[in-house]
Parts: sequence; C-alpha cells; structure tokens
Amino acid sequence: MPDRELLIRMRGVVKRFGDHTVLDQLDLDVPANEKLALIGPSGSGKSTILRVLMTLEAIDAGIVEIQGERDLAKVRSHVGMVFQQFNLFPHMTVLRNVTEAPIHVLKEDAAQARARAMDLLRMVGLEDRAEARPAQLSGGQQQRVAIARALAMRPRIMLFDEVTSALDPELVGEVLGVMRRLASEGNMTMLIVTHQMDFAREIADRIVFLHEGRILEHGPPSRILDAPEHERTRRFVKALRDR
Amino acid sequence: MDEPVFDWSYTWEIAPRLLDGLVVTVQATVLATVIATLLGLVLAIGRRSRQRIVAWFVAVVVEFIRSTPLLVQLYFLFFVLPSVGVVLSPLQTGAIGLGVHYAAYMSEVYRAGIESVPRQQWEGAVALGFSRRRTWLSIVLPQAIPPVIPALGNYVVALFKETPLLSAITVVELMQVAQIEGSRSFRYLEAFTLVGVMFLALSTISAAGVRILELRLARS
Ligand SMILES: Nc1ncnc2c1ncn2[C@@H]1O[C@H](COP(=O)(O)OP(=O)(O)O)[C@@H](O)[C@H]1O
Ligand SMILES: [Mg+2]
Repeated sequence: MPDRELLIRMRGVVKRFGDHTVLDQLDLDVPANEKLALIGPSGSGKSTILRVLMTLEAIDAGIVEIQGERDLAKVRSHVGMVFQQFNLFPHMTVLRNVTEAPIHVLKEDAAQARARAMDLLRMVGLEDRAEARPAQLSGGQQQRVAIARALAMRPRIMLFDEVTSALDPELVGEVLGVMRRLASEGNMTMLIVTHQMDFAREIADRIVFLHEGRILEHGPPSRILDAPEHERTRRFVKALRDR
Repeated sequence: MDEPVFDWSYTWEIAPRLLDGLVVTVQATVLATVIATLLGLVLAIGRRSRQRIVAWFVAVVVEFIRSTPLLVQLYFLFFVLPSVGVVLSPLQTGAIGLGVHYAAYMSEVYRAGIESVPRQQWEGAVALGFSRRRTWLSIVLPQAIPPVIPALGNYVVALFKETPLLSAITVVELMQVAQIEGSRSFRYLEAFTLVGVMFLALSTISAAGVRILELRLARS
C-alpha cells in the first residue's frame, strides 16, 4: 500500500484539567480516509481527543497537526463533529440548521446551499422534515440532521462522539446506518468514539484502546477485540460484550 | 367665593399645555429606550469578550452606573458634556443619561438570557466553523433575547416613570409643565391629577404591550 497522506498527527499531547492529567503524552497518527474507532473506559480521554481536534480544548503540551497545519483554527472547516447530545440549533428549521454554515462560513449561494442541504437530508432520510424544528423530531432523526449539518461543510474529517449513546435502543440503528453509508463512500476520514463493538468491528480499519489518557494498544478490529495483548483491553471488551 | 375643589374648566385650560409636556416625556422615553436596549446589548456582549480586560472594564462600568443615583448622572452629563465641547439640548442630554443608566440594568437582563444558552450551542457553532461574530448573530442572540423581552419591557416602563427626574436638568417634560402651571395659578390638584392620569394611561398601555409580547413569545 502506498503511503497515505497523514491527516492527523498528535505527538506527546498533554491535556490537564486542574491537576488531573486527561491526555498523558499521547501519540496518534491518522492517515487519510482511515475509519478509526476510539474505545476505552469512561474518563479515559476519548472525547477530549476529539475536542482537541475540533479546537474545543487547548492542549497543555505536545503537537497536534491536521493536514500539516498546527494552527487548528485554520483548518477547522475541514473537520466536522457530531455530538452525543446532537447540539442542533433549536430556533432554526432543520433545513436552516444545515444551510447556515455553508451560507455564512463557506459563503455559498443560498439557493445552492438549500439544494445541497436537501440532497443531504435525502441521504439521511429526512427530506420530508426540512421545515420541522429539531424539537419536533425523535432523537434518531435529530442525530441524522446533525450528521447532515456537519457534512454540509464538506469536511475531510468527521468526528463522532458517542453519537448513539443518548438514543433509545430502537433508534440507534438508523443513525449507525447513515454512518455505515458514509464510511462506505470511501473518501472520508472518520474518528468514531463508540461503545458499540459490533459496529466498530464492522466499519473500523483500526481500533484504538485508550486507558487513562494513553493509547494502551491499537490494531485491526479482529486483533483488538478477539486477541488483545493487554489484560485491561480484554476485560473492557468482555464487559461491553456481556452487557 | 365658593371655589370648586376640582375645577374642570381650569383642567381643560391647562390640558393642552400638559399634553405638550407629555410629548416631551414620550420623546425622552423613546430615545432613552433605544439607547438602553442597544447599549445594554453591547455591554452584555462586552462582558463576554475573550479579552479579559474588556470584559472586566465593562463589568466595572456597569457596576458603577448601577450603584450611583440617576440624578447625579444627569447632573454630571448636564454640566460636564458642554465643558468638553459636546453641546446637546437638555432633552438629548436627559435621554442619554436615562438611556445609559437603564442600559446598565438591561445589560444584566441580556446577560441572563445569554447565559441561558447552553455551552453546547457555542460548541456546535465552533464545530461548524462559525466566527465569533456569526455565532452571536445566528446562534446565541436569537436564543438569548426572546425569553428576556418581557423583563426588558418592564425596564422600559420603569424608565418611563423616571422621566420626571429630567426636569432637574431643565427639560420641560410633563412634570415640569405641571409645576409651572401650579406655581402660576397656585392650583396643583388639577395639574398633578392630570399628570397622574397620563402616566397611568401610558404605563397601562405599555404594560399591556409587554404582556401581549409575552403571550406572542410563549406561543412561538
Ligand atoms: N471541562 C472539564 N473540566 C474538568 N474535567 C474535565 C472536563 N472535561 C473532561 N474532564 C475530565 O477529563 C477526563 C476525560 O474526559 P473525557 O475525554 O470526556 O473521557 P471519555 O470521553 O473517555 O469518557 C474525565 O475524567 C473528565 O471528568
Ligand atoms: Mg466522552
């Protein structure tokens, strides 16, 4: 395989909250188009990694580069993020949630942005809810809108932070379906924080197991899930499976 | 020799002059309201500045304005502005004083509205690449302002009721006209009754306006 472009490079990244070290000399490389699943116990720093990449947290030491750029604010529009709690804008229609950033950040023509937003809503199966308010939708529908909204910015990197954790079990499938489809389209780099091991196995090229702000081990899903090197990984995977 | 306690014909005689005073009162109220609502918003946003020094400075100014009497501020503007070369009419000076004073109070109302917008909304905006300015315009203010409009409206009514203070800096508003009429005829009952009725009428109308706004907002 030819060397793929390194999209994300993290070296010796340290993040502290007070005297609590949340990311502890973390190194992580993500090549273009990789589908990477981040797993690990609660509090191990999974969300913090995504939040650092999204410029929602500043780091205390180390290097983070996206597309070779260290000033992450400059490349922010190439990165999209989907949150556990959706974070849709409640005062806007679904359609405007999706068009607002393309129009005001990318300066797209309004009619063009609307047409593309409708395409994206169609892709996530919600073209008939374009004029609804987020509060009128189910959690699963809201999360699909949030994915469409992030995609409207044409990001190269998509960050998913436990996007199905706040959903009723029967609504999880529709969101995973959209992510599956996005993954299959190929030219998208995806970092997915999830507790859904079957889903991780299915779409991830690589799984990273985090423990106390460090990467304990990483590798293809079959190895991390079926034959982990570390006892902690094994226990974590087993606990999720038995749940 | 039997003078009526309440002289209706005298009342009719002075009513037009009092209405002129009321016009001045309304002008001062409208101008001060515009200043208070706009400046109040600017102050509230200033307090959220990422420049610590700006946020701190705004907080100090707001605190200072809120803890000194309006009358002192009015005198200050009335005597200091001309001495630094700013020549305004008493009405303009009074409206500015009143507007700035209430801007400080309204900024606290806006602040409550702004703080009620969840942090996740700001984060959603960052994730979409919005600038700070765009985040305020598209995301934060549209959610922060509607819930506080009733509280702002109540301050407008309060501001209106404080306009008689402007007579202290020679604005011939409603209260001042009543005083002039009273000292001319030595009859105060009619003039001040009219003042009371006029304030009551306008307060009632604007309070009803605030209430209607409130209901509208609750429905949307
Ligand atoms: N804003 C914050 N202030 C203080 N501590 C925080 C903050 N955000 C996260 N933490 C702490 O950092 C640790 C890692 O958090 P996080 O990255 O969210 O973990 P995960 O997503 O793996 O559950 C946790 O112990 C959490 O309590
Ligand atoms: Mg988390």
